[in-house]
Amino acid sequence: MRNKKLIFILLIILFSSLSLSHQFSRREISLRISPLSINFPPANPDLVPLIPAESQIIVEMFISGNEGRSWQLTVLADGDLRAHKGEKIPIENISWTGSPSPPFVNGSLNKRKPQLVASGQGNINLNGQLNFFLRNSWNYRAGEYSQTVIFTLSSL
Amino acid sequence: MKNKISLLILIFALFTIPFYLNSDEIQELTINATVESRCKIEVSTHLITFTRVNPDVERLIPQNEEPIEITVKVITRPHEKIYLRVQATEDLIDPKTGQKIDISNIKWKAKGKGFKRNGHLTKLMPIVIGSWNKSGIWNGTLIFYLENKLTYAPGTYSTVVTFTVSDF
Repeated sequence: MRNKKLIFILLIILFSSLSLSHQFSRREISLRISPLSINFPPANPDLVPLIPAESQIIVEMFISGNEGRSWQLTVLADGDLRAHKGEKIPIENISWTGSPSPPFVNGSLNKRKPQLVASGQGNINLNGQLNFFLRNSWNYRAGEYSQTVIFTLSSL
Repeated sequence: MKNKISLLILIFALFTIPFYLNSDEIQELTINATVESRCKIEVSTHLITFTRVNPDVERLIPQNEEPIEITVKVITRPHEKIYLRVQATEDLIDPKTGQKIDISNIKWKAKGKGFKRNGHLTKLMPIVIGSWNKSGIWNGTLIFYLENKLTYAPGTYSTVVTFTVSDF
């Protein structure tokens, strides 16, 4: 009975120490973007075929405890740009340019598959800039459109 | 003993679960876009001419030039309709003699989606020659004809017609 108690206590000590060592090397990950909203102003499609967003997005990423692992930042749209009366603008008509490159890449939004924004290896503590553009068209209906996109920073 | 095993599992889980938690961080961005109602018209030429022939031979004189290409570009609001209209400022006038040819003697025929097929000019009010209720680029062609009549006095006549696009 005593032996069993001893084994039990030893096991607890073993797991605790193992876990503590893990805790010390535990990954920390943080993502911050600002501002949290961007606006595309109205423009003549003949004069401004690609409308730049009024503000640039600053991306701040921090990952620690990620030695030997890769990381990626992706973006996924919740849907197309939508106006109150049901009009839509395909979300793929919004593209971005990212810098610095690498780790940032250029791309277009998608509502089905997360799109890669940046990727790399190991620990990071870096800032990047994203400039968004809306492809202009005479085929859009007039209106106020909106949509949410989700950025996800993952340690893989 | 059972309690001890449960306690062991619990402690093990408490220490290890945080390590295996998925390491994802998310942020939401809201995107807003404003699209304004607007329209634009492009006309391929600013001058057309007619050469008079024997009225017994030809009742309608087509313009000497190629058909006028008209492009209407519109961004509409939902349930909004856009109209293309044409109006003459005055009858055809010979400035040397003051003689006039009534502007209604100029007919037109149009082709293209949303364009009316035919009509005649008037100076009294703008005449609709096309309408659209959807955003897009709408192309059409327009040919003017002068009705040939023996009553016209010899001379060189001219006038100005204006195309307008509006949502009323």
